[in-house]
Amino acid sequence: MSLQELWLLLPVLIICVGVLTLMLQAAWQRNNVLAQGLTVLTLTLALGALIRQYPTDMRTITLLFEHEPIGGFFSLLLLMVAISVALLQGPYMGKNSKEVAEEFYILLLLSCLGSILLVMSRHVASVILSIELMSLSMLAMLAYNRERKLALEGAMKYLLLSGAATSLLLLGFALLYATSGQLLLTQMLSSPMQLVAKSGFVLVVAGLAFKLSLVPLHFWTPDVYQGAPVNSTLLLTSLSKAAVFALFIKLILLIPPEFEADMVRMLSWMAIASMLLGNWLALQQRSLKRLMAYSAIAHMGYVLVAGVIAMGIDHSLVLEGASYYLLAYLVASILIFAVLTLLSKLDEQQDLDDLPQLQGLFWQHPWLASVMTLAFLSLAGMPITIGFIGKFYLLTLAVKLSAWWLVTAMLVGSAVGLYYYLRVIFTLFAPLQRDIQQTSGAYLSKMWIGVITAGLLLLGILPGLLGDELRRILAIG
Amino acid sequence: MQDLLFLVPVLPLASALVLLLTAGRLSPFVVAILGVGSIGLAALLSLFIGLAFVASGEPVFHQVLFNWLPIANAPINAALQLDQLSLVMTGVITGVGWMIHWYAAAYMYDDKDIQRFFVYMNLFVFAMLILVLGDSLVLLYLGWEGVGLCSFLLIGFWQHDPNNVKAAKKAFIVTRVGDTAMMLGLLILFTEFGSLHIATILSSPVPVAQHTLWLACLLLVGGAVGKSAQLPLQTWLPDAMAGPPPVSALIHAATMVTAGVYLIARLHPLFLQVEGILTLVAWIGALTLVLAGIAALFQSDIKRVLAYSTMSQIGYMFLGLGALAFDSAIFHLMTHAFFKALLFLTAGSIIVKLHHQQNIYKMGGLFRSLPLTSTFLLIGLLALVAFPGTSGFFSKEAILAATWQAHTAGPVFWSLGVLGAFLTSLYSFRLLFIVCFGPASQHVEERDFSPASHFVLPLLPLFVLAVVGGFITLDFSRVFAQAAHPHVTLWIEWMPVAVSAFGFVVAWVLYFPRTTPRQVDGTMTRFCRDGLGFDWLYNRLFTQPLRLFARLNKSDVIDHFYRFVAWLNFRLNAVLVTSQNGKLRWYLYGTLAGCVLMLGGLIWWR
Repeated sequence: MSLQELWLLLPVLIICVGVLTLMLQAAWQRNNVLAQGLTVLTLTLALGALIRQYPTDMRTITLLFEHEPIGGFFSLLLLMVAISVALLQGPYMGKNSKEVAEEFYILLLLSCLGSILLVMSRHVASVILSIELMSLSMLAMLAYNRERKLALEGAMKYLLLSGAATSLLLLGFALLYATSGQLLLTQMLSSPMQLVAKSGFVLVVAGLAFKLSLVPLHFWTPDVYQGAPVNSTLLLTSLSKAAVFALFIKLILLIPPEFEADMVRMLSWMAIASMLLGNWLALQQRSLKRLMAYSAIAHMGYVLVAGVIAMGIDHSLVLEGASYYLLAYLVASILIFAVLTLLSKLDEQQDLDDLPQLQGLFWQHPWLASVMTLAFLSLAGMPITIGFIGKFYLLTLAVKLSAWWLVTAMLVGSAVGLYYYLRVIFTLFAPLQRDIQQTSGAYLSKMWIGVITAGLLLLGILPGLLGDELRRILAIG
Repeated sequence: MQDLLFLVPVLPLASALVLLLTAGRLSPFVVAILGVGSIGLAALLSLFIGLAFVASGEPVFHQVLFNWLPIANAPINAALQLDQLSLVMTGVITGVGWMIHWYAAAYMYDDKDIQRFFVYMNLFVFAMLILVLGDSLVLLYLGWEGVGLCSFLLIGFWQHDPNNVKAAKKAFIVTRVGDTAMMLGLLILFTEFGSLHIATILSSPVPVAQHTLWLACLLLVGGAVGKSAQLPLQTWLPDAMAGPPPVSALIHAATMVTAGVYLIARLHPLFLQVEGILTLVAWIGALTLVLAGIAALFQSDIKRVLAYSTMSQIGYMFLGLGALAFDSAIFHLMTHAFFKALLFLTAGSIIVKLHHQQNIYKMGGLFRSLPLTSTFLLIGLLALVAFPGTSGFFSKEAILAATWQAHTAGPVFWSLGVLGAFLTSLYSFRLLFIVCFGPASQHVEERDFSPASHFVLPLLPLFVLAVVGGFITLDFSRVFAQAAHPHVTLWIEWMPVAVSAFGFVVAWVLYFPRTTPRQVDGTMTRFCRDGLGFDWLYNRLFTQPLRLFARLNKSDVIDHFYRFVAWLNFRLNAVLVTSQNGKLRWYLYGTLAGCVLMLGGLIWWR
């Protein structure tokens, strides 16, 4: 490894140093605020380092990793998510929590590290290692309040099911290795593929689809989302999905041409099923976290549409569309969970989750309710929000490719989605029934929420602002 | 100077916006200054622009403001076009409109909603100016719909009375029938010519099938008929008198109702290409002018008399258009705007003076109590009956003379026109006699009607114009192909005057109030008073069947479909959530089954 390569790994190294520092700090003196500060500092430094040496072309770093623009863009998203979670954890946990505080930040940094490494992977070993690093540290965060029975139950379910999914992934890679004798992703998939190799690839896709909670591997999603503390749910719905999707699209673009037709058909069906089932499942959901879980299934279906189209036509436009859509989804998810986090406490047995509990939020906390309304409108794909532009990109692409089944499913799904998103919004504006407590203070978190909301509106009104930039960031077009 | 043309419509718009945005916060005085001042400025500006335009000698002045709809091969610009026709229209709209706004400021000063009133009025002037100045049919249609909207808002201005709202709705719906026809006509023109730019259409070399063009022109006539209250869409105008009198003067006498005349005059080269369409226009005008004249004879409400009279006079304009005398039709449009605005405003003064009494049978003897106002009324009515020397005389004479000779019209139309002149004279003098003579009315309000009040000052220019407006010579040489102005024999020229005099005598015999006048009430009278049964007919033909249908379809059939969709979605949801039962072994099997499914699909598709 040359010094040059080390230099390219700087963001990752900064996070490693941050993890070590936090561990030392926890051993030396436990301090909630200090730990949070160090985490935010680490993540900000990593973000700065990443922007400083943003990849403009593809460079390999040893056998295991590569440094390229798409990964760079996703790393930006991942760091943004991690910063949000770090900022929200302080108010969520409060000053005198029964739970230990510092470990959460260590776990957060570790899972962020895993996700960034996953995005940079080019070798089976690094894929497996980083995906497990991300998932296992997340697992601990899912059960962070040990007194919540639902949290423990959810974490247990995630552990077992995720284990099964990882074994599928490993089996798939094993089959691919058995036929090709290669462990580098590019070489593994390049040879003419036999049925065994194809089955291997399908198993790999299944393993990743589990993480993305795509139908038919979506079963775990609602229970785990509902059980976990709301801030961890945010991490689960944004960090792991974004990172896995980056790998997913990388793999899909490597598929040899003779195998494309089969995969297009399979992924189309998965996308259609995800969009329809996810939205239908959410239709009458009262628990907001479950609702977001079903919504995540549906939205991952939408993102998958981009993946499907990517195999059909010009990659650059599809990458742009998929990135935009994912960005829109992340922004809206961060905002919704952030508001819920500010209204909940980690030490309580339950988060604020039941929809009737939110009734009349607007009349007591107009700003929080407005943010939530905008976020839900963005998820529903209403104009002047970033979600509209995201959906617009995807629909344009699908129409251009004459993928009418996909278009139909997108439209039906959106119509059904509108029903339950608007139901939430109506609840927010209904007459106030009971007093809703919000965490006082937490100005930094609220400022961060404000910034993200402004982004949601700005990119929704002026999509061109990012459109060209995005093409430059992704080094395409 | 001409470069400022865009300011003419923009000034009223700006004033309307300012008044709208400061709703309820300005004092009535400021509102009046803004509302009247903007129109006044626009009027002065259009005067100077008109002088500059005439001096320049150009046939058309064209001003592109911005590209509005960037359609690839037929871009639609927001562009204004000033020629001899639109210059006259602009002059009438801003000039007469100024006087009416001035009067309206006095009339509405104590109304708490005066600001809303002037928002609508200024917006109306803007829309009307866009209608006549727009260089494409799209802009014309924009103005067309704009004036329709403002008319609706102003008829129902006093919205607390359900009858006013009903009248507003009636006006809107009936004119909408015409508007829809016109929209279809415009679409046909667009498909045929590929453009809606007026000059492009009129000079287009594209050959168009005769029947297509005929249909397009017929639909356009439908639009014109709706807006100008001609047969068969005339029923809304008498009810539209529910609005304040200045509204009737501005919209339902001077400007908006003449938009149909403008439309046909503007597109006359198109109509000239179609066999028989102008004869149809002449028929519409001739029939309307007679029927409206008969109906006017039986009205007891002063404003309704004037409304039917307006209808009848626009009938003359249509007759003129049909007889190829486009310039005379526009000339009559202008003089009519002068004297009819004067008449409506005078009627407004009388109504105010008599505690909002509109029934002419409860007036009487006004010559003694209101000499100045009565003089205005007299002069206005003299112009209306085309008394030699007044403005109405010149324009009506020109139309009738052209009708006699035109190959699209002829002696039949001429005799209907002369019959109309007789009716005009009859109902005018009936009105005059009943209102101004006979025993005096007891209830006269003490109110400042001195010659210097704002109720009188704006009437003076209109008064002067009603008398001498006929001496204004309009030059349309560059817009209308010069129809060789016919020299008809003397008796044809003086026949209308003779029948008018005869009408005067008959009116004297029949209506001069020797005792207290009273209203006759019989089946025939009622039939004529209600506009010759058209309301009854349309009610039976259209309203009743529609209501029946609505009653039958109370629980909307189409709703069932949507209810089914909702039901289906909820059922799907209910079925699907059973798969999320929280049991780990179930999830595990489900996940593995999904995986098997994917592998199975791979093998199946091979």
